[in-house]
Amino acid sequence: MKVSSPVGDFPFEPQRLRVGPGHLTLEGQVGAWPARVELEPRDLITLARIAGARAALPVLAAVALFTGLRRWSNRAG
Amino acid sequence: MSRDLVAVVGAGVAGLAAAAELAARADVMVLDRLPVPGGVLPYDAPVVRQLEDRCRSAGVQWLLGTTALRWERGRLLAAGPRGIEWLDAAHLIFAGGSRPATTAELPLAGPRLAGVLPAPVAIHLAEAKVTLGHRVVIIGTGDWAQAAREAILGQRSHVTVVARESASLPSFPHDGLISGWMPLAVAGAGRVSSLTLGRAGQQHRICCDAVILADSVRPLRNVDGAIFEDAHRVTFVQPTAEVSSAEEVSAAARRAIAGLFSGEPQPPES
Repeated sequence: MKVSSPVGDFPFEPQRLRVGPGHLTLEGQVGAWPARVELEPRDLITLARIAGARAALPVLAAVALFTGLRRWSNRAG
Repeated sequence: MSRDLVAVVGAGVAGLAAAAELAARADVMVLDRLPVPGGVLPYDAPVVRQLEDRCRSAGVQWLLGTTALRWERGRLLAAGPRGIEWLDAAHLIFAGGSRPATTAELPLAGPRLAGVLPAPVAIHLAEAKVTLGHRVVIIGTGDWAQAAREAILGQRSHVTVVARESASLPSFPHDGLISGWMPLAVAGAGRVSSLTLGRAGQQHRICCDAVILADSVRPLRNVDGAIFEDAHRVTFVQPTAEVSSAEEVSAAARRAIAGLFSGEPQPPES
């Protein structure tokens, strides 16, 4: 993955996906810097809207998976 | 020189070439404030990848995403993901790149005004879709000027280029060229509204709402204790010519390192 910024493009290397209460956290590295992306369910819906219908199915599947994981996480916790 | 640690500040082409050259004769650590090598070039540019691979195979250590702050008696103060730390180093190779002349160096008189921007800042802002102005003046005709012009191409600004007496004419598109005049002063209330030029006792004022400083190439020096040419145990590896290809920068860095070990005077960088 590549992230653009006003000071240049940087690689984003995903290393771990964590499920937290109400969000998914994608942890990784931007070069030497630790970095993370936090996604809430509404972010996934926004992504689906931006990407259009073609992406709707995988994103809805991700939302369903996320919701299931959250319920499982709540029950386990 | 024994196999002490040599710190190289700057992971652009010059820093990487210097580190690769040094690695056969010293332990080398490369620091850069950005988290990836490359400097002003993309991290995945072929020349950067090639030099990075050479450094890695030669055992160069990396401390990226880390800002070098101060050089003092064989120690380098650095701040980064590992925290703030002093690194012991026998020598510092400073490869901090270049910058255009400042208002003080031109010299350009007048108050500090919004809209008067060094070319690197102007380029960053333009790339972030910030409109710099409607009547933009670029002072300079070289690489910095060309990069600034390219960055604002889509902004529908009227761009006037000011070329000093000895400067070559711009090779990039522009809407107006004023050649042979020296920039003297900026004026405005809060934001720049005019630039005064001078030639042989004459003065000429042009209206503008942005002035991009893109004239000449100066070495960028921002590590306290490693500013002046005579800094103790510091070698500067920085391009000073207006036009420097990656290959030229790399070759100049290698020559500077070779000169450091031969004990001979370092050849001038070009």
